[in-house]
Amino acid sequence: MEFERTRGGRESGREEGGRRHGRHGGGGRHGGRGGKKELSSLLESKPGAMLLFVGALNCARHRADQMTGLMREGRLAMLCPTATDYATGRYLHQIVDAIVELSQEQGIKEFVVMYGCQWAVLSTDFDLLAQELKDDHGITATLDATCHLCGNAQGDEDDHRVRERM
Amino acid sequence: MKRLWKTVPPCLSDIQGLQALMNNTEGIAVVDDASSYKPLRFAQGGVGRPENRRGPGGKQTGYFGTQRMVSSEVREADVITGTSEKVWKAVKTGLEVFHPAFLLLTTAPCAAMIGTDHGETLGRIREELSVPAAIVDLDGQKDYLCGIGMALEAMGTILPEKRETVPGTVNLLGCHSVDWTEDMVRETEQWLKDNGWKVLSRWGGKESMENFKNAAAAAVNLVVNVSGLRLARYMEREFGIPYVVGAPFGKAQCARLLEEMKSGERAPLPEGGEGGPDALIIGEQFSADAIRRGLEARGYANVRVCSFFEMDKGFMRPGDRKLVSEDELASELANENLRVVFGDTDYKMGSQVKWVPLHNQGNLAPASLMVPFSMTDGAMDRWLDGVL
Repeated sequence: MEFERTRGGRESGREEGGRRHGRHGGGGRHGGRGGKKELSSLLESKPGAMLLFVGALNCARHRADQMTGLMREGRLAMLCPTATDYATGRYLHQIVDAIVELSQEQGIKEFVVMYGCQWAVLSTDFDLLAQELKDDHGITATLDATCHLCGNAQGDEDDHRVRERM
Repeated sequence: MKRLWKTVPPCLSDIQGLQALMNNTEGIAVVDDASSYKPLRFAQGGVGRPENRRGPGGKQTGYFGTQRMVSSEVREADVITGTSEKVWKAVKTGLEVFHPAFLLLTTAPCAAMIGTDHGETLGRIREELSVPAAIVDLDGQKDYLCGIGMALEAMGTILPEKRETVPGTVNLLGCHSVDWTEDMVRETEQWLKDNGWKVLSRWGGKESMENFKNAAAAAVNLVVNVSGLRLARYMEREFGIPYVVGAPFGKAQCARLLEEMKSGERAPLPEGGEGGPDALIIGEQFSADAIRRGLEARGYANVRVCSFFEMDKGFMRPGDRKLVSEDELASELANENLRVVFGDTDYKMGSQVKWVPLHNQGNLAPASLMVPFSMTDGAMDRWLDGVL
């Protein structure tokens, strides 16, 4: 078993060859109490890059204002595949198509991808997608691996159970 | 491409719609999800931390949604072992904290994907706890109107009790706090009262358990928002209550609704206009349709209703469209015959056509928040005359 330090500073153990949904993509943790950073920090060292959020509408409630602010600046787009898209694997093609479309429209060659929990449940192989984008389209894509399901983005919401105990 | 959003902000999800609905009830919802839910919107200077005040700069007014949503807080390992124990713990927590009069169970995207079995939890609630409960089959991937509609239907299956019909009584279905305000509900009640009708219950607005229980005594249901349609159909099947459809906006529309309520029969939809539309209304289907009728009375020949949210095909006219991509919105806005567009200003996409802003509380992060305002009876006519 290998251990890698997550964005939230916790250690997560993963079986080699087992579940893996990508490497962490630089910048700081954007969820959690203390050390909270703006989503825009993911683009700090990448002035020509764009964020792509892949997930369900319900996941957009986290940092909706920041996401929409970046959207208005042309620095973020959202891809919301359906349950069928996930179940059939079509979402993998949609991610590539979306990034290629955004690249062609806006001349962007570098993307940071954020994701919702469905991505994690399906153990999405981001490295394969990134390789395809690099080889076929000359586009660089990195992953921001912050995920509520994996427990490294917790603490941002008001949890009444915590509140009740306080 | 479909489902890729570059300029149009996301709307409230189906689960957030349920959350907004719960605020007005004595119930709670338990959601099988990896993260919890904070209040949707606070008034400026209101309760909570600054980051809880939605909208740019936290300066937006308006309020709906509470924490009457309890999350199971599932984690990666639960994908393998199942989430039912965590859901059960969330149910117990919800009962301890809120003492709810009823309980709805639902699923977030990750739990929907692994096929959470709420049936087992529901059976356990019915065996061990004395609280009415139902499942709302959501997945966090649809819009708020869908969530509210399905939740109202679920409430309809557990709350009303069979009663003798009381003539001259009506239920308001779909008057929820995202598209309606309590003032609008009160004004609609007054309009109905002035015309000899008594409102028994308000489904979506602030309401007591007692009134929900008595709702089956109504002579007719008035569906004021598309989110009330599922419940109306259920109550027609289960209790034999006929329903009339339409937002009570505009004098002519209100007269039509009163006539239909009296007869218990819905009038057929008017025919669609020929050629490209000269006006476009983008928003909740029934409000938009009421505005359309107002525009038609003012000489517009072909008014089209479009929405990114749930629409019911049975109440769509030819040319009406459920939008599923920004490309479709762009093609509607590019129509050369267009003289005016009504909708959230975040939908403009650079269009130069005359634009009349509509309320947009369903927009998760609007550039400029606009709360719903009264259009009951003649108020819409005065507003239309002012903006056109």
